[in-house]
Amino acid sequence: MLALLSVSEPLCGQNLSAVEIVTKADQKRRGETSYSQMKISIVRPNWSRDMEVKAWSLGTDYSLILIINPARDKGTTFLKRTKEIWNWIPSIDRNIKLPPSMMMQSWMGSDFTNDDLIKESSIIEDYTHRLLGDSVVLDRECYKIELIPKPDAPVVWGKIYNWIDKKDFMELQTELYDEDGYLVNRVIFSEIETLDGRLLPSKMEYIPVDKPGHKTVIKYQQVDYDIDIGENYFSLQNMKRVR
Amino acid sequence: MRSLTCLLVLSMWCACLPLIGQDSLEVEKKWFVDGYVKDLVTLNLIRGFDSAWVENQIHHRLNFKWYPSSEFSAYVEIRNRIFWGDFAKNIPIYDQLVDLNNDVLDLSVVWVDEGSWVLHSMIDRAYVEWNHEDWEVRLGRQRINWGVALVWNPNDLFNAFSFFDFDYEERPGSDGIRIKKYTGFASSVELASNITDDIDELTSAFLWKINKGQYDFQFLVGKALEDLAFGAGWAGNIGDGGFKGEITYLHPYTSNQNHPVLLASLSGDYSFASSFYLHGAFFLNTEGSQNPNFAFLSQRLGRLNVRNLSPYIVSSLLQTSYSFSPLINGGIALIYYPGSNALFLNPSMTVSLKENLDLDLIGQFFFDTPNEDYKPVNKFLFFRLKWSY
Repeated sequence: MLALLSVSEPLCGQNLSAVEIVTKADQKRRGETSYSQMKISIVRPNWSRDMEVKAWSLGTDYSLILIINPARDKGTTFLKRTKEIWNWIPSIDRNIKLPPSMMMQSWMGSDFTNDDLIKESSIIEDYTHRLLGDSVVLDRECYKIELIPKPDAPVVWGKIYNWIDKKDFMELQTELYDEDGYLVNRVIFSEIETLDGRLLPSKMEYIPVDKPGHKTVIKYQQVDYDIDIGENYFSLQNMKRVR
Repeated sequence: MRSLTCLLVLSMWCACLPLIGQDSLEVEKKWFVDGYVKDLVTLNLIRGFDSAWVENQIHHRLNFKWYPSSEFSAYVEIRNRIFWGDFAKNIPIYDQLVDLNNDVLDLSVVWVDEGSWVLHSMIDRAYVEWNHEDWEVRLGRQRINWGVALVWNPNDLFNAFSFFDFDYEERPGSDGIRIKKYTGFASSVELASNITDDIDELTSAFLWKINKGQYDFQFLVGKALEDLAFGAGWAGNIGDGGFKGEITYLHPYTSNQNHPVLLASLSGDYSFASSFYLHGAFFLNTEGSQNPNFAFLSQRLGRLNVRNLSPYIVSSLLQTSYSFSPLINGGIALIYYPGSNALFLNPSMTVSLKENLDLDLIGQFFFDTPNEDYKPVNKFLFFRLKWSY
């Protein structure tokens, strides 16, 4: 089935619209449901800090994140259900409801926001998409697509450029521009591997362009797609039980 | 009991000695050990630096978790502290202050109490948990945390928390049983009780939680020591800001000196994209006093219950924090007591020195008018190094 898909995709890809290309890449990377384990490294000119997390997701509305490293935060979980976010702190046996304004804040000191990580905004629904042309990234033929946020969409960017592999529908590079049109962040994807049967970049570097030597690197260590979890999985009960 | 506690503490120490010094300990996948070592230097600036009382405290916490099956788990956590300095030397009952507890089982030991030294160990968690589908049952010494707001928690009948005692975030446990059934993703019914042979020491209550319109609501009814307790709490948002509150009404059912009291807490917080965080809160205690004596010290050293969360009628808090870099966080909290003009000032800074090694610099200054003269009556400085493993 997968082999069939990979053959048929490039053929019908010729006639795909920009929004269809972005949707295909988004669906491929995300899956309807997923489990992933990843290492997140915050890199600065003079130091770096690593953390490891496990994450479960269902669509864009439901996600659960468990911190397994560093030791100080081990066992802490974050739950998101549509617009609501909770934080479980095991040492004090306490569940804290977080204000939505927390979404725009940096994820534990990294270069991306909580929203980048648990995706309150949707790359499909909150933007209008336009195919700009062809390009080459990592020696692979790519579509270059422009994304402009719709009015009132809950996003901070003025414009996004997305480079998506023509053959395997992988996002290979992203540029995020502010509302004045200045490039703020560049996201570079690399280390293409087969993750749970899907060919995808396993490494993502999030680089603020005006800060030399600064970046946040996400390396996927394990990914399982289309796992058997439903909406009920994303509960205050499970926040305490996931390990 | 003391010898049993000694034996327990010692055997736990021995069991984990080979494990200390490794990261993310995992033994045969069913045992987990973690914790931290802290060194806390306290300066009590009685009149100034010349007459300061100085204390050094080494604090080791060990947490054991055992997961024999997906349904059963067991937890034991121990806190070992060595105090050395002017507090132990000058306060004759310092060992008793350190060892304050009113639990059924005395699981604490003062190993040494000599001159300026006190060595103390305490098992503050020891419970088993059973999970089956929507059910969760916990038996043993545990934290039963029913608080919703961030500073004053009148719904937290079991393990009251003092904002001033920042170095004990885990809080003492209660010897008790808790039976909880989850009825939805953020709703549950729960029955909790501490275990005691004295009816006036019994706290036993029922808690109902629901989620409606993106708000978490909770309602409680029960008895808390010598009071009947009725309470409600909520956590939700107004716009993008957090909005939380708790109300508890306590009505004495015995002929003690206590009067009925209404305790209410209200808080709002907002987090800016720059990481600047703002939090404001109010607390009302209808049985509070306009000018309580030794308000700060009794809150810092005593063991709190829900009736004495704050000895003032009205307490108000403004708190901010900011990440100067991913390694440096600074903040300041101000608590103002409008009736008396008393003020608590609490600047703090945390620096991540290395992975798992943090340095905290904390000040606690309490201003009041003891003799018509507005001045800082208590001045504490803390330096803390924390290594987590």
